[in-house]
Amino acid sequence: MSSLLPFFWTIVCAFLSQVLLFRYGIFWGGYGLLAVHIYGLLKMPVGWPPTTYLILTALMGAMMDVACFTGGMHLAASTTFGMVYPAITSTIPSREGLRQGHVLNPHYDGWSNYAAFASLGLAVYWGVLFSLQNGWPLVGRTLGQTALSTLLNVAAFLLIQGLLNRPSQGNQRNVSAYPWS
Amino acid sequence: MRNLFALLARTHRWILFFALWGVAFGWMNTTYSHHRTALASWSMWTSRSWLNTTGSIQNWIQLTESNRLIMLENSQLRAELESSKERLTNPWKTGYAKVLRSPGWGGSPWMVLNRGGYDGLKPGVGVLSLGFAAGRVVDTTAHESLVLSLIHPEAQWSVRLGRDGQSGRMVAKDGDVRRVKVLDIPWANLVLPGDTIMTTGFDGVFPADIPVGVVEDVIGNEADEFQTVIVLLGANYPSFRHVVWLQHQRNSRIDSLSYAITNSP
Repeated sequence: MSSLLPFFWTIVCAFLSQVLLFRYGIFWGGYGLLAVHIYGLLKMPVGWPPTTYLILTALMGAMMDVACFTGGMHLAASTTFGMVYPAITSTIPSREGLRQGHVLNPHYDGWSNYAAFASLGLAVYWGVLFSLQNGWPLVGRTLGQTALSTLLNVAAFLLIQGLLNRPSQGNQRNVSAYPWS
Repeated sequence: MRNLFALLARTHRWILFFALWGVAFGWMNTTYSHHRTALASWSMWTSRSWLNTTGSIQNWIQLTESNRLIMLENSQLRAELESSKERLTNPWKTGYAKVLRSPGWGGSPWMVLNRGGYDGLKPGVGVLSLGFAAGRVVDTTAHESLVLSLIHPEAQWSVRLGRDGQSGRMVAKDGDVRRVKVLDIPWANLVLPGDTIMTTGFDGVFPADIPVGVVEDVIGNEADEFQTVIVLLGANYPSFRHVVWLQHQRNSRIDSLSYAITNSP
């Protein structure tokens, strides 16, 4: 239970920051949008039942729609994201395998692995959302928006991970193999 | 019921996924006029396509049935036509039959009809398809007949070029259910593609001047005395479904005369 508290705390913070601040971050004529709430969803631990991912992401999407008046688009995108989340996590190689409860972390799993993981999740999310928004006649705009928004968010997530999620140093003396150091 | 629950338990994630998508679509439909319009136009297009497809299928079924009835009627009319041609002088007894086994199916040169001895058929009766010669009955049961088709590899038929041309032997062309060969036509006879091949009536199966097919090609070496004429049969064995049979009482009399023991040399 104690391991879930940071996760829910991150989810709440990500949601609130997205609704209150980052939803207004629109760049390059609407081609680059921010979705920081996905950062919270990407912290869902490995090994949960797939239905749990689906319900959690759907709840997040529904709350986004209520808060941002987007009328079901975030719900559809989040639901798809939750559906493919187990498959995305299984594509990330890990030195020791993905253990139950492991949260993907660039400091542990590698920056490129985390970037690939976030890119896949964000591409699915933005792809569905922009497809619903633009429709078939604007498929080129959909692809462009999906690519640019994914890149923007991956960069933002890597920045957040580097700034806020640095591994704690702890008391090195207690664990050192060299007591004299 | 237990299986149903087991199925639902196995697929609950997908069911939930589609249900959530349904909620999302419904939500979008009530929020955005663009999506509402797109959904309405899509549903109209879908229903129109569905109605068109089902209508086409119904039309096709009706046309198939109509085609079957037309072919049946065609056979009956041709039977009446053939019998009325010589009603006053030499009446040919005619009737129509349905094809149960078609030549060409499985490489067989035989055809089976749904009329037999009880219907007046007996060995020697000629069979026409859409007015073209198609074969000869060689055996019958009470309700079925076995027909030797024109493409049987060991059968020979007497034909001529047009109504007044040279007569020759018509034999099967190996492995072809639509074409036969006409032999014994001298090179002196000019044969052109499109010429009609008729029956001579000499074989006693068909009356004279029943069309058999049209010339498709002429092959052979001009150093030879005879040419070989490739004929595209009018009887389309793979596709026909009804045939007309012709019988003349005189044929059986002629046969008994030909095969009489007293006539053997």
